[in-house]
Amino acid sequence: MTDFHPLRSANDRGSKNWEQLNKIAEKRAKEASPATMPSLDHATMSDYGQVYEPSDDTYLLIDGIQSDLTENQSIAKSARTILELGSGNGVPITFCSKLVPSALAIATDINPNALAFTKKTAMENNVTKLETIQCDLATPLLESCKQRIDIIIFNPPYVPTPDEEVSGNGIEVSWAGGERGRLVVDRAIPQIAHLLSENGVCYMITVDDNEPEEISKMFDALGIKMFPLVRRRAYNEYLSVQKLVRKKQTKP
Amino acid sequence: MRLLTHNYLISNVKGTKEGYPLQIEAEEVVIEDSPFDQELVTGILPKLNYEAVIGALHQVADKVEPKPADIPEKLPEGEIDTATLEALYHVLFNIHVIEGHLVCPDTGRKFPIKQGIPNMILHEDEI
Ligand SMILES: C[S@@+](CC[C@H](N)C(=O)[O-])C[C@H]1O[C@@H](n2cnc3c(N)ncnc32)[C@H](O)[C@@H]1O
Repeated sequence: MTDFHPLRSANDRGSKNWEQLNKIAEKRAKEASPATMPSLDHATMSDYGQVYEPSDDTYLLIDGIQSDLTENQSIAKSARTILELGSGNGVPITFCSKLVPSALAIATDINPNALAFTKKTAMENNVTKLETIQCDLATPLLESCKQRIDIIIFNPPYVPTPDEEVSGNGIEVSWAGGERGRLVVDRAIPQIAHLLSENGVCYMITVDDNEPEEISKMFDALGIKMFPLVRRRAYNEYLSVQKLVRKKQTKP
Repeated sequence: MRLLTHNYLISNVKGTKEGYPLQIEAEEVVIEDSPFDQELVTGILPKLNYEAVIGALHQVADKVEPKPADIPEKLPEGEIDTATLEALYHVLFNIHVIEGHLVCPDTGRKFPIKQGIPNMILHEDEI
């Protein structure tokens, strides 16, 4: 993939303000203590032919979750529902569940092997209150869970590819993201905005190719504030964990 | 799939009006005891569709062994005593449908449950 996705040059990374936020996120990532990976002793190499293997994005995601939930203990304490879209290997939702004492964790994925693997990862790490649903994003939950999810985790298929590659339910759809890597992300935006509870947070991975500042504007129009939480370079891409929270209504 | 999850799921298949609650056709149900979590169950209760909980419990009842403690037919108003909360926790968190189907009440579309995982994916012509 290296040939097709050269590192974005510094000057098309967004506005001055966004660049500033990115610098803060890079600093935060450097200073954060690295998260300890949940055990994956149940995994065999052949699993990773069918299920997304934890990678730099996964590691950054759990670093970001740990740093933010340690800093905002009240979120971890009060959260009752955690949802991960595209749980894949199950590492992020398992990790997050360990930091949140009293919550139900719901994992979705379109890949059935990913969900079976997610279950094993949770079990291996003594996370018992996990539910798995094979579905597109969170579609069958939207009606009943409006503004009811306290923590949403999303590491989408974000790699820019031709749109046609985003099809099926195998390993390809764990990374193939269509034009600018935005095909799945853009469909998830209204769902996340719909599901997030009043004091809820969402942690979402982006790469700069996704044009995250534009994503932040789409969320802004739906009443959600998005900003980079932690940011790190991995090979040919800059990964960020974006943090999303509901904008507080100002009283009239 | 816990009965709690059943409470959240809706059918989005083309032609549905409500798509809720899904009917459970259970082939295999297991009880897995887990430590009672009062904070969690009290946090979740107000948001539940309680009628659908009662319906779901009736639909799996003949497969549930041992028979769970009774839960009230209507969610009590105000503070709920601990024994009732424990019974509700048990029904929502400890009863797992392992094999079977969820059936859309409007279209009859069956969503399979395999190894405890409901498959809610729609085919292209169902969207
Ligand atoms: C980049 S992987 C992330 C896996 C894991 N959460 C992690 O952070 O390591 C993306 C996951 O999203 C799943 N996925 C892709 N498209 C999806 C969709 N439309 N609905 C639900 N899951 C999807 C893939 O199967 C894959 O498991």
